[in-house]
Amino acid sequence: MSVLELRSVSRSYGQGASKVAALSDVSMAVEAGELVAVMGSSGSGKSTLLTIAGTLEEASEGEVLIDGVAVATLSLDGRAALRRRRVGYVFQDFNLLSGLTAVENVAIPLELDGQARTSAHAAAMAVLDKLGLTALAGRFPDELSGGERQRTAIARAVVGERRLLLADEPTGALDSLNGEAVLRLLRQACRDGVAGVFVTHDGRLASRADRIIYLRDGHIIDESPAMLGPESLLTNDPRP
Amino acid sequence: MSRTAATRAVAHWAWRMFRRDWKGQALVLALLTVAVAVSSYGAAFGHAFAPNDQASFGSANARIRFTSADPAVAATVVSAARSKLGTVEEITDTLVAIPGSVQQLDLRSQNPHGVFGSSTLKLRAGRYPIGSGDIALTPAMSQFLGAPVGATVTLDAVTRQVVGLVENPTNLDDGFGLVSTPPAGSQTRFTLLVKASSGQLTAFGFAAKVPGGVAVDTPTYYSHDLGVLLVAALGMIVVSVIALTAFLVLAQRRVRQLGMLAAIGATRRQVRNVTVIHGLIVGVIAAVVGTVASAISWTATSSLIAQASGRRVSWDSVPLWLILTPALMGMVASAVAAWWPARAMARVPVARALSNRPLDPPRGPQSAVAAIGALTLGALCLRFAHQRNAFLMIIGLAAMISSSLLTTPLAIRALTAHSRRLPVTGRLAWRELGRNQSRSAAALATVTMAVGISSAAVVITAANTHPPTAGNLSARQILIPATDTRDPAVVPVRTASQTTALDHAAKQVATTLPKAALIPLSLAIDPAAPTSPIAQATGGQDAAQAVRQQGRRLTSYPLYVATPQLLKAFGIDPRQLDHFGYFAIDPTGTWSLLYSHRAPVPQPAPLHIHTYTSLPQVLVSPAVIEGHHWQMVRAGWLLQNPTPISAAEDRAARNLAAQVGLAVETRDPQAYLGRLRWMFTVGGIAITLAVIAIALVLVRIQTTRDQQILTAVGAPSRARRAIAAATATALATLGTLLGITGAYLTLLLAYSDTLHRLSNPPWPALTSIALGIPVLALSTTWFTTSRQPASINRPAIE
Repeated sequence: MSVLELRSVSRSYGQGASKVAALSDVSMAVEAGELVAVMGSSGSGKSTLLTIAGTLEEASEGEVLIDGVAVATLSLDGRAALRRRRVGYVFQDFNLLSGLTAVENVAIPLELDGQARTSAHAAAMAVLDKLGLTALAGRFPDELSGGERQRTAIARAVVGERRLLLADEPTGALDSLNGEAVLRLLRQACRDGVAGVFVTHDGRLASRADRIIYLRDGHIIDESPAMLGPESLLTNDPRP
Repeated sequence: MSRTAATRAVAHWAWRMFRRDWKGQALVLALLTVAVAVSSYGAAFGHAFAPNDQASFGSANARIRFTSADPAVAATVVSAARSKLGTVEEITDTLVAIPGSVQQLDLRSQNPHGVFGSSTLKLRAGRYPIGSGDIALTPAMSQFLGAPVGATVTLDAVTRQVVGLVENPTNLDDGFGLVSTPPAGSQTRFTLLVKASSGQLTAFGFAAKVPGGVAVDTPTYYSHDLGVLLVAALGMIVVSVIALTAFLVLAQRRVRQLGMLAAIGATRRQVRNVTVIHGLIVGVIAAVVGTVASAISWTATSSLIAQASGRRVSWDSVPLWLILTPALMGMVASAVAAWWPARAMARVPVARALSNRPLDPPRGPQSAVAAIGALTLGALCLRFAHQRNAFLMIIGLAAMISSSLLTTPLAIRALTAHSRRLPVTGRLAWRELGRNQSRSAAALATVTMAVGISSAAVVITAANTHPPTAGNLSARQILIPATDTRDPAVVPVRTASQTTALDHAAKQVATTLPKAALIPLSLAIDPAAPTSPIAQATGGQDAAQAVRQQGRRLTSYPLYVATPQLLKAFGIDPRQLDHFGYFAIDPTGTWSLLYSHRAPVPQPAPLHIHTYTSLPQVLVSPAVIEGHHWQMVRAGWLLQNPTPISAAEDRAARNLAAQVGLAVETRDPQAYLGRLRWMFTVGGIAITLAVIAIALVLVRIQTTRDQQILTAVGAPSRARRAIAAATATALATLGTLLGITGAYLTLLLAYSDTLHRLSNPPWPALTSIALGIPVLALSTTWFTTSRQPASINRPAIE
């Protein structure tokens, strides 16, 4: 069973003459452990695809299934619970809560889900430790660099028992070195069994995915396995 | 999974956000704090000024009084009371003559630690009397007798040492000397304080065997507490409307952060709770700070309040519920105000919130229509309340306040519309106010409220100041009374030589005003009248009295003798005595005689010359006195000067009167009203300037980017000063205009039945507010704004 499945999903804004189709009849599936890159020009519908997949927006038509559960059948609170427990979201501009420290930011989905503060913080610290952020756990977002913020955001997206990791241009606000590091983390998360989808303009980064989906004017125009770049020679990437 | 853990996480974040962004909420915090402080202070103020019988009853629910000179009779009654009614506290009052004076001193014996009456006795200095040679005096009596602590006084042939100063904190006008035991053999009034049912009291009253009987009465409590709290509640509703606007602005600024929370799985309730908890935090802080500020203000003004109310009301004697209710209302108002923005924000689609697209601006509240509607409602309610209907008064007041506040968005829009012709700095400043209309209108509303409340208070103190034609006496008069100190309708019995001596003493006092006319005042004595308790206790005689009935209201007046000299002083032709038997200040109503005659009296001739309350109100001609076989006795003198009496002349007359054993009464200058007026003026200006400063900080926080750009394009510090000063002056001028106009309009409607009371506006205080606030706002802003904004390259961190 696919972790994420989109069946003939369409999304339009406005009505009548001013109606704009952001997504048209998009179908795709992402399996556990798979990392998919979505590419396309501005306005092609990449972010809309991700927000619909992440239950942040509703599809006008079609069906979205996460872990086999049809999102349309869930209430608003049910979708929120799905986001807390199953879906992790990483944004281009980090979207960390400025009033909370790094560890509190990572722990908050667990705490919102009713987990005790101590156990939530312990889980958050474990993830931060894995990402090399232990020393920064007590810092507030405005005391972190861009790369550190994004790594914290990824930690928040993978904490708990997440099954789907969605990232909207996660390296857009980072330099190339930090961008690479972030991609490695996404890749690592997928190795741990998470299904990952990320949106990017950068073909070089997209090549690190298992599969690349190309969008234009809301349609999937191409879908291909990523080409291995020369950098793959320098890594132990187990991709075939 | 625990819901508590999730709520705690949300509360934790809300608290962190409040701490990081407290400046952004300073305005709403200040507003709520002021509202709580004013409500709390107002509630305590209303409690202090509400008339009640605590001064006489303490914590007892009934009082039994009788007069006797026989200690055995008194002991029998007290013993019977104890056996039938339980705990009894006994207080005695014996009047003794003050040597060389027409005044008498009330020698009181009371247990300072009595079960019921302890609240009516307090030691100010020294100690309480223990032995029969000790006495403690009230400060006024100590001064009158010239007997400080340590001195000796001889009263009723007994010499006692003054061992302390005491007072009745619930009635500071109560003058007495406290002794440990009542003087033996004197006519003494016994007061028994008890807690008993009405049935027990009636049975005891009938059974008591005391010559002259016993009087049983119960206290009448008037409480303004609920009324004051109702006004406070309405005020809180108005404040919560402003707070709602501020929370809406806050929520708009946080739209993205709330979107992030929703994106990571927060439910709508959790997203909503962030803002609601935030509101609650603001409410709790406002409640605590407001209550503390109120307590400090109360302590600072307690002596003025004691002077004005005639009793000491300490902060800890105000009922706790009365203090805590405004604090609770502040918390609820804040949480309720945060509810609507919280609900609106929780409904914003997550994707939209994450893109930082704010909510659509709140639909135009149709401010103009709403303001006119509120104004009409307020005008009608206040007009038809006739200063009596509390419900209509409260509704009217709330409607008028709402009307003023609803005008603020219109005023901001009008300001923006007129910015075109201004220099660039002024244009920028005013347009910025218009661009952030919600926040600017809230700031202006707060300024308007602060100015309106202080202006109204200033005008009310002026309205309550006696006009020259009213008050106790005119500024040209001195009254020298020779009646009983507690009841002006009772005159001590004096021999002819004593009266001559008193006349001589009064003439001596008159020497301090060489040009003044000394007019003797005499009362008509009705020998057939039953002896009143006071006359019985003092051996005095009761004056004849006339009763005026107006509807269900009965008022009695002692009858003064209409001598030609007195009539002339009142501007009446003495020949009128041939035509009229009675003369009255207010001759309306139906008149009859009190006591045995109870005969209707012909309509009195009017004395339309003054409304001075301490002067004789009803005069009776010598012919009528003769017809009723009444007597005439000296009751005092009126000194009438051709010019207003100066403070030095007043002092000289008082000193001389004290030397010859008399006391004088002069016009009450109501100095405390003047002090209160300036207190409200200065306080109002200070609070308004503080509110403007907070508003300015908020506006500048929001326009940081614009200021950085201005700096980048080479704007000098003068330009930044000009922008800040233009903002502050605009808020100050508009707020002052709206506040004073609103306050005056409200008072004109409220006082519509007695408009003459507003005929003397307190120009100096009002001018200080009207000019002082804009000028001080302009100058302080100009001189305090100079810091260059942070670097333009430094991006704002969300």
